[in-house]
Amino acid sequence: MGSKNAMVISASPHIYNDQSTASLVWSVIGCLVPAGVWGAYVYGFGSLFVLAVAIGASVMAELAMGLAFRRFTLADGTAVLTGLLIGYGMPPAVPWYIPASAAVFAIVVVKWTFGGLGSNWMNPALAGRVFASLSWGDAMTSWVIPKTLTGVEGVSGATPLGFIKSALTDASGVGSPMEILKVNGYIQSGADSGVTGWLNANLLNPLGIQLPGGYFDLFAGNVPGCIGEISAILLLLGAVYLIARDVIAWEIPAAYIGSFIVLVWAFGGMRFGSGLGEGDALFALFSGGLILTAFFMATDPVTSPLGRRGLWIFGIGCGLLTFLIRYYGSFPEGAAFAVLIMNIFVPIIDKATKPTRLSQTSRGIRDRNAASPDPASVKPAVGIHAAGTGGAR
Amino acid sequence: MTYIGIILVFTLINNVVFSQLLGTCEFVCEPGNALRKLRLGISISAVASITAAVIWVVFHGLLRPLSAEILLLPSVILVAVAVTAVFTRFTHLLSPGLDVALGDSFALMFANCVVVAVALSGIRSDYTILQSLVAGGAAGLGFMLASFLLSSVKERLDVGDVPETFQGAPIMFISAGLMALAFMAFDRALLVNLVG
Repeated sequence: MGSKNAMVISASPHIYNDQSTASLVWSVIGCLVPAGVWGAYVYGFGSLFVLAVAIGASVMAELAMGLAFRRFTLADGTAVLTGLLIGYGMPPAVPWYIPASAAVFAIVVVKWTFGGLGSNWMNPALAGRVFASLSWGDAMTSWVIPKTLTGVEGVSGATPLGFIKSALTDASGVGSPMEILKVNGYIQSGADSGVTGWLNANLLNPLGIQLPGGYFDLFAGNVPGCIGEISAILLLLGAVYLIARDVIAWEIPAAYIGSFIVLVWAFGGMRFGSGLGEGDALFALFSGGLILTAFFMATDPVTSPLGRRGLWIFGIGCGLLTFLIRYYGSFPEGAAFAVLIMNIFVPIIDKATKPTRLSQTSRGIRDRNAASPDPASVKPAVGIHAAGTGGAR
Repeated sequence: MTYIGIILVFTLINNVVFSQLLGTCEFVCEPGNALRKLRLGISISAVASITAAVIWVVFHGLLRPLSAEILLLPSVILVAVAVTAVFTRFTHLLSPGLDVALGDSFALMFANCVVVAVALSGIRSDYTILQSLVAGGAAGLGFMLASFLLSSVKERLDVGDVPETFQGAPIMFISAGLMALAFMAFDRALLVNLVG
């Protein structure tokens, strides 16, 4: 290692601007913080401990692997981000060794055996989360009802998606997702009926729409679920900032959520005994970890395609798989699996959407297709730009 | 079970590579281009289909009437070896360069894993002879899918930063394991709910 600023490690595409990987990653972390604060508020102090364990284990693993391979990348913040995302994907009352193992698995196996930041082909945080839910199925599906719903901390209960899945599995629930929740005695907050009533009276009823109760709780994150994934509104605020700053590619969430919503609207109703075009897209959008996964995990530049067309294909694939797993599979939430499966296809997508010389236009550096390097001849995921004196790796 | 169901089971849900960890010797040890993978996949499909069908006849025509079901495993291995031998001789006559292109492990791996596993699971699931044929073909397809996905990831890793310690077989095993993790999403419930 040479002087402190001998090199800048940055994710592809290798377009020069003044944003380093570290500043991008720390801004993503910053945009994630509000959702975590909300999770800690509604689930109590224990969820902060889960987050701390996940981040701590992730940073320790990164440090150990950096020592082993003599490549120190702790300062770029990706280890903290991986740990944070793993913590966000954990139930609030999970035993400490589960986030710790998930973080170590993510950093050591998924990231460092491939050579560290930029060389891994699978998203470490999602792989760690799936590893944990497959290894400790019971602990990873014991949820806590927010204290804002019950008034006391630590009451356990199922997530909305969990209720839906068990109703579908034992074929007891026919009716819309919201009806299934109501039959199962699912609690709605006073805030929800207040806001829904106000919206109906002042905005929706004049348009001829009647919004049933329960959606505001989902939107605001007043539901049982993983620590960081429940509050759609806070996650969306962060995501809007990141998209405006061009930190994350808007194509992936647009394609992912767009295709998912269309599929749910068109075919989602059929699993609940209603017809084509009667699926509850609003419920599907704000329940589970879709928002967190689509905006903050699927957009990981290392494990998503390079070209603009590739981003769309990747996003649509994620949407299709999430729909299939959520509505037909045995897991309540399919977002993590969907992105992991599409990670496998990224090299193929990159190869298939490789731009030809002719398409190389002068549309400027925002054109990802024109700027993306040939994946076969250039190191595909990470570039080390020598800024200043050349540093040895 | 429907034929579509069998094809989905053996390509995605019980993928020979990702869920049964069979045939890993091939893509881990042997580098190879896409054409070679395609040829190997088709060969495995053909041999697995024929073996599964022959075993069905042997089991239902010979072993079961004689109450000698315990001999299933040895007979599967014998039949697999025989079918492989006939198949290689046949392909050698048709296209002399093919078996050279496929390499040394060709005959060996047939008798070893994928073919035997498919023939056995056909018997255990009480498939008809036609279903066994389809299952054999689908297992070859599943192998092809796995080796295609792994070789595309390998191409990316070849130009990447994989540490010396993990280069070659280790990183391919880790990659296959991670793919298996993601493929856990494809399970029987998904299949049953989708195609019945």
